Parts: sequence; C-alpha cells; structure tokens
Amino acid sequence: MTRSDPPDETEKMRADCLNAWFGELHALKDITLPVIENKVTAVIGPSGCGKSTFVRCLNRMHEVTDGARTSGDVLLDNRSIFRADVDPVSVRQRVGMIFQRPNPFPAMTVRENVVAGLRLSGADVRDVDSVAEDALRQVSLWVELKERLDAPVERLSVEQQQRLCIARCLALQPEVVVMDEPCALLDPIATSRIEEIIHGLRDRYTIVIVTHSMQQAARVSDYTAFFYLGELVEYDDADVIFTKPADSRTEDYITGRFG
Amino acid sequence: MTPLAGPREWPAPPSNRDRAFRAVGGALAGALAVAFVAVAAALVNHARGPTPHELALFGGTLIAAGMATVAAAPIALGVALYVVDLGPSRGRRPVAAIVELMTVVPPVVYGLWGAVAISPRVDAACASWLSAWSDAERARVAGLVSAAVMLTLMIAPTVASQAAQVLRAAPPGAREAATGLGGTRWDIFLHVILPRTRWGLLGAVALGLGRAMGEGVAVALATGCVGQDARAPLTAAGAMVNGLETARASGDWRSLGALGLGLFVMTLASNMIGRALVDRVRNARRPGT
Amino acid sequence: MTSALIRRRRTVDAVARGAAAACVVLLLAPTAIALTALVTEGARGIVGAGGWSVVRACAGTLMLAGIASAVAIPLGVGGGLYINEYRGGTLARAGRWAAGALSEVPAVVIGLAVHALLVAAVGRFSFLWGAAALALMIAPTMAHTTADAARSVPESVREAAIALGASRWRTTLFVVSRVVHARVARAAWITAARAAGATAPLLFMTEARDWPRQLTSGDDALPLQVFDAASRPDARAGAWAAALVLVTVAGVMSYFARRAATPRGHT
Repeated sequence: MTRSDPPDETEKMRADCLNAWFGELHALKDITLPVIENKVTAVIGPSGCGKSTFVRCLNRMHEVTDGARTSGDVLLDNRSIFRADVDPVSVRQRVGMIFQRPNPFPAMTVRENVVAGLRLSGADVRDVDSVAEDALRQVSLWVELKERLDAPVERLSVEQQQRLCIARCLALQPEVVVMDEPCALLDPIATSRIEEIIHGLRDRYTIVIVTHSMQQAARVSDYTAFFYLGELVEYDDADVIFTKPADSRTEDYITGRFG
Repeated sequence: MTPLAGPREWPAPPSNRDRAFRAVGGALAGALAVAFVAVAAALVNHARGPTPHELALFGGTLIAAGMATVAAAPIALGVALYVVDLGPSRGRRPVAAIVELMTVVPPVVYGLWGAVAISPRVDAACASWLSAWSDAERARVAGLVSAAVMLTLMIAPTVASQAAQVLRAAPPGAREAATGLGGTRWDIFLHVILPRTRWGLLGAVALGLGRAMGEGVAVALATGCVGQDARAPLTAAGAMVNGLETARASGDWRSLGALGLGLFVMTLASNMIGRALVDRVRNARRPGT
Repeated sequence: MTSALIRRRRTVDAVARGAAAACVVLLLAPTAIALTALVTEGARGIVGAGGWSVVRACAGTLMLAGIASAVAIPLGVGGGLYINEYRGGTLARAGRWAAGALSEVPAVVIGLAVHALLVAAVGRFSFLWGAAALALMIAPTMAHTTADAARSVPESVREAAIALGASRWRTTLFVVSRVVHARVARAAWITAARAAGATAPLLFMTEARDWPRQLTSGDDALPLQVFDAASRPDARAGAWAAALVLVTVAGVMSYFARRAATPRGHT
C-alpha cells in the first residue's frame, strides 16, 4: 500500500476501510483500494479470500445476500455509494456486473436479452435494434448472431452466453464494469476471446476483474490487487506484482507455492 | 457509515410501484389463507358428532380407498417407471401423454362407466360366489368392490404422473454415471434412483389415497343408482352425494356437515403428507441455483 | 464379473421392463375399452337423444369454467408469485400452506363448504355460485403450481436482474413470470379442464329438484347432465352423449395444455 499514483490517473472508485460480513463471518477486513479510470484492475487471491465479496460491494450487490452487511465506504467519482440519498439502482446501472456463471434471462431471445437491462430499468427504448447491434458489436457477437437475434438464448454456447451477458451490461452504458471470474467456466479459446473483448473495452470503461488465473491477471490488468484471508495484501502495477512483489505472501502465491 | 443489516432485502428501497405490487400479491396470498379458514369454519359450523352410521361410512371410505390404493400403486409405479426409465424411448412420450390426458377425464364419466360396466359385473360375480351370504352383506361387499375397482382406474393416472415427476427429479448426473459404470436400466433404478426417490414415490401414493377417499360423484354413481334405495351409500364421499337430495328436502345439512368435516380432515392429512414427500424430492436440488 | 452374472442381470432387467410394459397395458386396456364404449354409445346418444340439450349444457359448462378461470387463474398466479418471491414472510407462508391444503380438498367438500358459505348465507341458488365453487378449486391449484415453478427459477437469474438495476416488481413481472410462463399456462389449461368436468360442486349449487332432473331446466352443465342421466337407467343414451362431449371438451383443453408447454421457437 505504498504506491503513489502518477498525476495523470484519476480514481474512478475507491474502497475506503471497507469491511463486509456474512452473518458472523468477517469476509473483508479494512480494504482500502483505488480503482483507476479506464484501466483494468485485477483482483487475485486463493478461493474464499473475499475477492468476490469485494467486487460485489462495488455495486451494492453484497447486500442482496442473507445476513450480509458492510461498514466503511465505497466512493464512485468521490461520492459515497452508500449515502442515503443515493439510489442503489443508479449505482448498479453505473457499475455493471458480469458473473462467473453466464446468467442470460431464460425464455427470452438474444435481442430481448441484450436490451433487457434497459427495459428492466424502465427506460423508454426507442431504437431497440441499434442499441442491440451496438452492444453486440462491442463483444464481437454481432457477426455471429445477427441472423439469430430472435433465437432463444438457450441455444447459444456457454461462451456466447457470457459474451451476451457482457453485451447486456454494456447496453446500459455503465462507467465501470465489474467481472467476477468471467472465464471460470470457459475453455482456453473462449477465455482468450473474452480477454480480447476486455482489451477492446478498456479505453471506454473502467474494468475490475476477479480471476483465479494469474496468467490472466498478468495478461489483462494494468493494476493488480492480491487478497488473502479477507485482507488486501498488496496492490501495485501489474508488472510490479508479477515481477517483484513486496510481500512474501504475494510472491508465494504467484509462484504457486499455495492457493 | 452505519452497517447495512437486516434480513434479505431487495437491494433497492421499494418504490411506490414495488409497494403496490407487494400489497396486491399479499392480498391474494392472504385471500388464500382466508379461503382456507372460511372452508374449515363452514364445515365445523355445519357438523355435529358423527352417528354410528356415519362412522361406518368412514370405515367404508378407508376400505374402498385403501383397496384402490393398494391395487393402483404397483400399476401406477410401473407406468411411471416405464415413462421415465424402463420403457423404450419411442413408447415413453405417447404413454406419458395418454396418462396425462387420463388425469383430466371427469370423475362423473368414470362414474357412468362404473355404473354401466363395472358394477353389474361385480354384482353378478358376487351373486355367484357369495350366494351363502345375506343380500345386505353381499350388496355391501359388491358395492365396496365396485367402488374400489373404479377408484383404482381413476387414481392410477394421478399416482403415475406424480411418481413420474418424482423420478424425473432424480439427478441426471447420477443416471449417466451409473450407465457409464455398466448398469442395466433396472440396476440403475434399483440402486441409484430408488434410494433417492422412495419417499417421494410413497408421497405420490399418499396423494392417490387422498384423491380416492375424496371421490364422491363417481362412487355414488357406481355403487348404486343415486336417488334409489337399492343399495346403501358405502363411502363418506358417496354418501354426501347421495344424501344431498334428502338434505335439501329436509333442510338438515348436519349429517353432510359431519361427513364433510371428517373427509376434509382425512384427505388433508393424507394429501399434506403426500405433497410434502413429493415436494421434498422434487425440490431437493435445483441445478444452477 | 462372470458372464453368468451379467446374463442374470440382463434377465432381471428384461423382466423388469416387461413388468413395466405390462403395467402400462393393464392401465390402458380398460381405458381403451371405456373409450370405445364412450365413443360408440356417445355417438349413438347424440344422434338418438337429440343434440340440443347437449349443446346447451356444453355452452353452460364453457361459461362456468370460463368465468371461474377468468377470475381464479389471475388471482392464483398472482398469489403464487407473491408466495415465492416474498417467501419468508408470514403472509407468504400462510398463503403457501393454504394453497397446498385447498388444492387437494375433495370436490364434494368444496361443494358443501361453498353451499354453506354462499347458498345458505344468501339464501338463493345461482349459476354464479357454481362458478365461485369452481374458482375455489382453481385458484389454490394455480397458486401452488406457480409458486412451485417460480421456485425453480435460479437465483442467479434474479441476481442478473438486480445487477442491471431492476426493481423488484419488474424483475418478477418481466423476468420470473417470463420463465414460468409455459409451465403456468399448461397448468392453467389442465386445471380449467378439471374444473369443467367437476360435478360435485355444481350439484350443491343448483336448484333443488326431483330426481330425475329435467334435462331442460335452466342452469345446465355437461357434468350435471351426465350425472342426472346416469342416475336413471332409462336415460343412459343421454348420459353417454353428454359424457362424450364432456370428455372431448376436457381433451381439447388438455391439448392446449400440451401446446402451451412448448414455448414458441423451442422444438
């Protein structure tokens, strides 16, 4: 936690002394972590160390779970997302989320899925087709699926479903995209496709990605945070983390000595 | 920063539309609860303590429904097995569709068929086999057997379709794994499916028992012509249908009330147990949750 | 594993399959016989006994089942969604229990209870009370089925909606109900078909009258006609005719149920 940010980087989000509990379980302990605008921040660490909990706090999804509570703060553009006058709905629209298991809406077509976010937030969508096309292009599904926009979503492969979920999120034009192990269920080829998409998105969106794979973190991220047992052990430039980490636990983890 | 606590809350503060939505839904759920209380209260208000005759009718209900359940259970479980596991793949869908269609055939139609086709044959058989018995005894046995035969045919499709749902709920992975280990379909059922589903299958049978006990119109038709005193009504539900005319004429509904309340309690017990057992298997594990 | 053991297991398997097939035959053979009787006798009855009263009773049945379904299906589905989406609350738990209990109450008992609640209280028999009794059979069943279907919607789907910033009512109405739609529609048709064939509740609601009932009296429905005619050995032709029409109506409705269960675009 010794890093000082260069002046050209603005903080899009910041966790400030963030704690999270599930009932009695203290899942996150005093996390203070910046998320830099238009960069990819990777969160790595062994299973059960609070990575998912952390990113779920960023768009107030944590509080959906039974018995979950938080203390501390999360700032989005220097404003707390927990303040009483902040509508969690608007937080979730600004901070979109991709889940580990692709969760397209069943019983809907491809097109309906892409624009579902707009419909569900009550927006009046005038030009459904162009919104759908734009979102699908961003995840390079347009060419594959433009003939099958009215096909049931169950017909797509798992990987296509995951990209569709990304498109569904992008259709809402979020500022931050949080991805919770988006490639955990995908094969290496599909994984590299998702990573390409992340590369393509980094100019327009601030991205936070949780991953089990250190190779993936090294490939896609600009900054990397290493979580261990609910604590933030180390946060730095990805290059620094993967070449000369300051903390011995980080080094042990990335060299495969545990986890 | 105050901790956000509390039970599972929708992560947005409810809007007015959310509140309205919840109020409407709550009113509907409440209406169901009120309806249940109203039905129970109406029956209790109508009822008085049962007379020996009415107790005998409950005995008849247990005998006829019990015989029907014992007869229908193996057939229905066999059909369910055929539809889910043992049948050739071409046969399953049509049989499943026919069984499903049979569950919507109205009881009164079964009753008509029972009166025309089952009851006279059972009467004739009883007349030749039980010639030593008194007429009243013979009529009682013949009536119960007719009712049981007809109830068997009526509840078998219901039990089969419930049992099939239970069997389908067995985890598909287990089935594939057992096939991969070289099990025959019967082996798989016996060692993999049955241990996971036996309580649910028992529940399907209990649902059939509940339905058999509650069936009135078909029993009244099949065990003797309604409105004629040729034969005493033999089960509680059948007697309720048969006694309707008398109750209307006299304005005394208390006998029907006693029968109705007793049946309500009996079927409720059987069905709640059956439903709980079936749902426990069916909702045991959902993929992707 | 010895080949003898394998052979024995094969034999056991074959016997089991044979037994299952025998059960199917045992169930379907009487049904086939009954169906043959129904079709031949029914056709003769329709031709012989004059179709007009059957047509009128058919209209009565469709009206009764239609009114009852139009009221009870939306109520039941709405209640069922509430029971599942707000599960954990007292009202939801009470509703769930009541729906499960009421959906299996025998038709005669429903008839008696509705008679006590409406006919005896208001003092008049009415066609509408018959529809109310049928509605009391339909609504709990629909609530139970809907709650069951909604329960099978994975939580991850609701989570996806939350993450997109959806409010609760929109999630329920646009996502959950969309997923359960096919199952609920199927259950609705099946339940309506059962209600159309229900006799006992109607027996409790219609005018007191002499047996045998006059086939031409005002508020007529197919199940009543079958019941009345079946009670008189001399009117069996009419009974078969009405029964054939009734089974046809129920069969058509269960065909719609099957069609509803296959959503468009899925094969």
